[in-house]
Amino acid sequence: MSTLSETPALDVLQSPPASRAALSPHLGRWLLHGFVGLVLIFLLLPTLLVVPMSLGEASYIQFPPKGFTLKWYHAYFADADWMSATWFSLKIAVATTVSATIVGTLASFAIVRGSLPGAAALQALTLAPLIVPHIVLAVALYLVFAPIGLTGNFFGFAIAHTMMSVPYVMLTVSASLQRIDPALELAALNCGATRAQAFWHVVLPNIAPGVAAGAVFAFLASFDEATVAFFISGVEGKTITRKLFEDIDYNLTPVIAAASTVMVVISLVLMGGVEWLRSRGAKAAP
Amino acid sequence: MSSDVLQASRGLSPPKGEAIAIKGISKRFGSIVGVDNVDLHVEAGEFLSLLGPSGSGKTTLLMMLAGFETPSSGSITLGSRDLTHVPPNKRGIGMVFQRYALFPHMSVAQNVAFPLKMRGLAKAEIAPLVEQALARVRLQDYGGRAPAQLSGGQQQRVAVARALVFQPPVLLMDEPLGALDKKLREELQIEIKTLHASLGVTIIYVTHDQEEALTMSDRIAVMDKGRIQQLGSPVSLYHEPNSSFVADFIGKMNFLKGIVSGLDDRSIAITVSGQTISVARSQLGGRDDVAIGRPVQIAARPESLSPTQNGEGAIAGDIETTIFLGSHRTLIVRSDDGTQLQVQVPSSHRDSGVEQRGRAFVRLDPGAVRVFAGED
Amino acid sequence: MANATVAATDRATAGQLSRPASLTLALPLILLLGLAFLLPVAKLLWGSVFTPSPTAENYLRIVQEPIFLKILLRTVQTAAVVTCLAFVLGYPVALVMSKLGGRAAMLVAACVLIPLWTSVLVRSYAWIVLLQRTGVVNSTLMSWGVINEPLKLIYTEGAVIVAMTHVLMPYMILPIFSSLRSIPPELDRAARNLGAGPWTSFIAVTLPLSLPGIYAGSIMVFILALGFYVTPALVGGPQNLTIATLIGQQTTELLNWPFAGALAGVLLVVTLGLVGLFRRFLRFGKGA
Ligand SMILES: Nc1ncnc2c1ncn2[C@@H]1O[C@H](COP(=O)(O)OP(=O)(O)OP(=O)(O)O)[C@@H](O)[C@H]1O
Ligand SMILES: [Mg+2]
Repeated sequence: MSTLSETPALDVLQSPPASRAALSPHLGRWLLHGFVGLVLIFLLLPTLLVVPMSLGEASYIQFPPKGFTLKWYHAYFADADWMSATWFSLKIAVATTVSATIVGTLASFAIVRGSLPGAAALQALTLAPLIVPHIVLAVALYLVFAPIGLTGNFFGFAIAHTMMSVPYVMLTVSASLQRIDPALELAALNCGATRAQAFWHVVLPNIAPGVAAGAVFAFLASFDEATVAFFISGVEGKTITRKLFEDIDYNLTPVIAAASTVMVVISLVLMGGVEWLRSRGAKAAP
Repeated sequence: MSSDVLQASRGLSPPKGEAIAIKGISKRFGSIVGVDNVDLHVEAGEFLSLLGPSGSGKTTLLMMLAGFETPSSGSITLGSRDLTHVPPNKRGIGMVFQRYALFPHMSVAQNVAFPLKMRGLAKAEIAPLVEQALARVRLQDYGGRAPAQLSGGQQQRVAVARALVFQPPVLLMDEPLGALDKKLREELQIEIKTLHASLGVTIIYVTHDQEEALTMSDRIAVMDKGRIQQLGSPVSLYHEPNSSFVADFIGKMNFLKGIVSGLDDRSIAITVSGQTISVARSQLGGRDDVAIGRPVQIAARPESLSPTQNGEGAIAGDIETTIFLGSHRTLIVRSDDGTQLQVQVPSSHRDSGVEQRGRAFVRLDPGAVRVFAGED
Repeated sequence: MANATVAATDRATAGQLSRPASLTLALPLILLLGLAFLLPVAKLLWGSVFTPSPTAENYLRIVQEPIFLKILLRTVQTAAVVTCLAFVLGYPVALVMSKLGGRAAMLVAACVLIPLWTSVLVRSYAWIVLLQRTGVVNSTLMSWGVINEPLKLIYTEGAVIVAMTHVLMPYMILPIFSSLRSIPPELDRAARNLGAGPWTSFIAVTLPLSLPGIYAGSIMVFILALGFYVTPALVGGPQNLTIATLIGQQTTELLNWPFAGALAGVLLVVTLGLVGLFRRFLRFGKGA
């Protein structure tokens, strides 16, 4: 539009076709926006559908849900199985977050600021758990973990999930490390700080948003992870995803919808936190 | 280290600068030679500039002094202390980085306090020292601000305060004013000079701005290809460059091609653009393997060329353009053999007969030129 | 001149960590990847070849028995259809998202990112709720009188395709969005100024310049779809096995580890091969 008015000669020359053409782009734009709107509904609705389903009275899946009740949430919170699965998942996710963040941050620092032989290979290897199908990881981990009692086990999960979450930490932390001025660290050393002090007092505060984002991604990657959890869970040690898996297959009650809603809320709250961090980081950047 | 600072905070005599001796230092990056066998002795309290084109090894040399690069060979001594293998945080040398490298998550005061904190001083000892350091760079009211809230010049002054607060004997500066505009740069040049004079600290200052080096330095080391090409005072570098590289790099310079036409043990006769001039042997820079018939380069500053009315004993050419520069004008003259010459004319020379355009005759002051033999 | 200076001060080698220090910091990661990733995968693959004497039997079985070939083909076909659908549906979203600004852009981005960060399990469950006999789609259609009998929607190939398209579409949208974002808007304006209509300008300028994003998104969706377990397992049921659910079945029900290892080997080689081929287009990460 604006280009036409900036070139008056063309405007005059093309004035009759331009006015006719003006109609079709509008139509085109409406069609495009309408289509995109439908796709967005397709994307969003199934995700949020679990919320109304968890609030209906009927004890089977019914649509549209009738009535309003919180009894399925009561059932969820009162059920020892659900609770132990939820706590187990939360404990694993917290442990994964801590270990993946520490391991990933240190390794990113070594790769970006150090002289590692084969750094490129290590970086490629780090990303592999993102690419290798989870089913392959799942059966492979089961094969190794089962004989040594690491299935259904907190440590087994923590190790498996740390391996799967570390790439997210490495991606966000490396990106932050590459963005900060390397002279900052040199300046800290020049001021008399040891390597560790320079990292702690100067580098870390400046990559904190990346570290925090990586930590949240690691938490969610663990908490939401289903395939590996399905295979390396045990009768005792069972994650919320494994419990969901079982109940969807055998016992399709609205409690599942309630548990799902809890999961969705946890995920969205954490992701909202990351977005907030990111927008703050963008504002702080010069 | 911290005892030095403590002494200073109790008002004992401020530490003076110390000498730095660099012996045979080299730095190779694989096959690239960053610094090539440099020897340099910097006097205590001296202001020494490293001047050179991009890639000449200035930063690499400075990084080795600060301890951020390990020399491939050679040694560094500060006073009587061998620094060669001392880690950067134990060197006690201050450094100012080109883009300030202020810690963005700390206030100005916290930035300046950082070196003292790292030296284990108590809070109560730190505060007055920080105040004093900020006052020294006229930023006493800015302690609470974040670095991002300061102008470029102010940020650089904070960086200077941070580098000096622990009273290091030596201050390294890597193009500290490179990111600032011309006016601010000139202001800060004076400020740094003043600080240097009052503190007596040894300063090694990297720049590729030759004017900056000339105005600020006690001595200048001109670097090229990883080596020091010439070391000397600004005056000696300006008037007695010992290579055409240095002659070209510092100040404005005309280069004319000549042929040696006569030789005795005190003077040399050179034919240039059909004229023959005679220069003293002491005007020969660098290698002195002159022989009759050999080509030489004659380097003449624009102020040692002058226009004359008649062509007698002068180089003839056409004026291409005239540039007015306030106190003087510069004529750009294309001599008949194709060399472009810059001729400096005082502005009052209204009636010197020099036209804006047309023919011109340029006389060379033979006593003020340098002659380089054996170079192309 | 000034730029060269900045680059020289910035260079990574100045003050970099020594080799032993770097190794020490990277050691936990190296151990983790070695013990929890390389070792298990290697053991799985090893078991498919050495049982304990070396044999190609497990690999031959995949191509020799029609049922397995069929599953393999179906997996590839499903992944291809899902990739195409995700592209057709996702490209316009990325396009609109790249043109919008402010709140509208954030809203669209939220619609794309929220599914990405909710559990795949929850979203697959939602598709069961939608597609069940008594599910949302059937009840709605019946109440509108479109159908009298509930349709069989769940446990069909169609269900798997729709649900996987939904689950994987964000991986298509985000790379396309970022490549569209990096096209300078002047180019479109220039094309329009030279007389191109919006459609011509799109075909001649925007679409070709977003090709890297299209490649990245497509390859990402395709490899994720190939190895996807959760959604086919829940929505596809036992009649619609894919290679991933087949691996699951072989290990949990039939305990045929060597054969599962062979299937995993095939899946791994195809996946890594594709990633290797299209390496230069791929940038990983779940964020925008
Ligand atoms: N880490 C490195 N790896 C390879 N070559 C390097 C490295 N650091 C410096 N060099 C090379 O060493 C030489 C000297 O570089 P240096 O940065 O010291 O130059 P400089 O004089 O500071 O230049 P500038 O004026 O651009 O800052 C250059 O040829 C440079 O390319
Ligand atoms: Mg430099």
